[in-house]
Amino acid sequence: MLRYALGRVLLAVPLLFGLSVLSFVYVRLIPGDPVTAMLGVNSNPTVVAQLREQFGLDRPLPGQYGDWLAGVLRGDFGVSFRSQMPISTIIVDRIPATLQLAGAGLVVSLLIAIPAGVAAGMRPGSRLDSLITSATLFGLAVPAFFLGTLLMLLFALTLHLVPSQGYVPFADDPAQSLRLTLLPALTLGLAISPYLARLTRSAVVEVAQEPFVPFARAKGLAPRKISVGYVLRNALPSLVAALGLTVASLMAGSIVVEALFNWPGTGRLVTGAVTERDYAMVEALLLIYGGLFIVVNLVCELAQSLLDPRVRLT
Amino acid sequence: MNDVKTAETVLRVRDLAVEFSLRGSVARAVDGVGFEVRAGEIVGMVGESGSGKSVTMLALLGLVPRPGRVVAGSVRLRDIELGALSLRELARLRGRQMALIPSDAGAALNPVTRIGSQVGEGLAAHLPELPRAERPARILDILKRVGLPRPEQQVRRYPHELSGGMQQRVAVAMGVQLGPDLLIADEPTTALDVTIQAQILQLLLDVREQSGTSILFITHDMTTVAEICDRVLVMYAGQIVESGPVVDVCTAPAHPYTRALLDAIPPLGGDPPERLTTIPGAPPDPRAWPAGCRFAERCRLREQLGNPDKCTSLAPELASDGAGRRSRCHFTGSAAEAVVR
Repeated sequence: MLRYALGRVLLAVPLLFGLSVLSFVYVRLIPGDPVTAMLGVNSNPTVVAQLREQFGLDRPLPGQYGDWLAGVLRGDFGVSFRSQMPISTIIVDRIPATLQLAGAGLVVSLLIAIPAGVAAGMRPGSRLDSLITSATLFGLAVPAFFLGTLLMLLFALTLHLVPSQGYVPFADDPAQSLRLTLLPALTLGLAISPYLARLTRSAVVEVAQEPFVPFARAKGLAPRKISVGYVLRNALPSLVAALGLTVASLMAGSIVVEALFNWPGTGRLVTGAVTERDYAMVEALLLIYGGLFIVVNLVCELAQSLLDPRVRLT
Repeated sequence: MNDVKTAETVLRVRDLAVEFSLRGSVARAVDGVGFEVRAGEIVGMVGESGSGKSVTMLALLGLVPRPGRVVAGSVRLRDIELGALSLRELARLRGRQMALIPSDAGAALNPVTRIGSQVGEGLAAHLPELPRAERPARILDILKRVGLPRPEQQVRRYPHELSGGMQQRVAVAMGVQLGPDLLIADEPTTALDVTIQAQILQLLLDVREQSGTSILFITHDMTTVAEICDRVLVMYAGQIVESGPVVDVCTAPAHPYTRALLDAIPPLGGDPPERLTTIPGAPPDPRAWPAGCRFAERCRLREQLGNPDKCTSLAPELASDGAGRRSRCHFTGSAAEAVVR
């Protein structure tokens, strides 16, 4: 087991390295330049050249990359072209808000997707299954920004149950913080639950066909015990792997949802940095989002092998 | 068991019919099956795939999968009419009064649960009054009874860490732990190699000997039936075509299908035959059973008799000879048959 885990971790290293190269090169492939973005198109060429030199943009790419990577490894992502503040400070500042939103969104989606997927998968082809499957199809087709707007219209502007947008750190005022989290978390949760429900359904359908399910019935076990202890428990390893993949949708969804609800998380940084050609910031965010995805999936993979006693890893 | 004929009836099945309707067509997989199992008796149910033996078994347990459903008949266990029970009452009865031994224990055990807790699930479900602290002792006790070696170690292991024979012993333990009236053994030896098969058959005989449990033994293997069963039911195309004491049926089969089944067993000793005897053709389509005898198409006796019209026009009854044997054929025992034999 330890050797397997170590192997998976070591495999993640070249992956992260590749990701860093891609993040770096990708940003430089985008037409436009931070200096022209800052000063405007008709700016003084001398000033432009000066600024380019100051940011090191006039140096050859491999050199720029080497310096950047050396900094990244020390936790220094450079300085934001826009705000002139250290990027690591800005990002660390934003992380709690994003974690709060992503965590709450994940909880919402699990609460919806797992029961729905199990209910549909236990009786494939039934009326309930068709209902749930069409609902997930509908859910997949509705974009998060549209769904969020509708929820905001209904719960905040019409029913006045919760504030429409804003963010208060949990430590400052827990009750208000949770009230403000409700709508964005619901939007994010609803946006990703269709994926998760479909993945759950197919995992459950597969497990429900295994001979141990009818045998459990023949033993006279309660239906609840069978769906939880037999079907769901055996589907769990594949569900955990699926969850790792859902994290990508969670991250993408949070960018949209944060913009919609004026939520000061890292997602807002992404939209801002891209529109303002903040090279260093975009690089840092690409690396962090991609790295997070790799790490989460690594953890899920390891958890998956722990959950299945048949997997004997050496 | 010599007193079997006078023993009380444990299971009585009458006119059982199970239908599967799919896309407008209806397949009557089990069509009017009736039989009895008496206390302490081992009854074999033989038939090829699709003969309806597995569906019959599922119907007894109340576990016919959708879109199938029991459309007629009665199943009585002791004095309980199973058709009248609610789903919950039926679940309470399964595993306690009527237990299943699966065909492939390796696939039927929950792969992610340790042997001990898995055996304990049955106790928890059916004997909630048993204190939790007493469960481990009960579990070890039953595993010892089915001859599982070193049960103290096995309870902590997962199913895949056990050999096939040990898995099957665990499955038998789960079946017998609550002292059921009837054990339904669904081809319990097909997934095992021959020496282990013999051990498991012996284990079933021991269970019957010790607790007087009746066993309905479902198989496609005539040899196994001959080894452990008292009586045998031969199924073909959703019906019982012959039944009777094993010795009688095996030495003097009444129905041409049974005869063909026995002929298909390769002889032990002597030169191996050039070709194994097979039954030509395939069973009829359950969505459209033929009007007359369902075996007529493949029947050698009919051929020898010059293909009489009666075989394809009139469905034969399951006729009793009054001495515990039944056969579903117009011509067995008739003067016409005596001539060709």
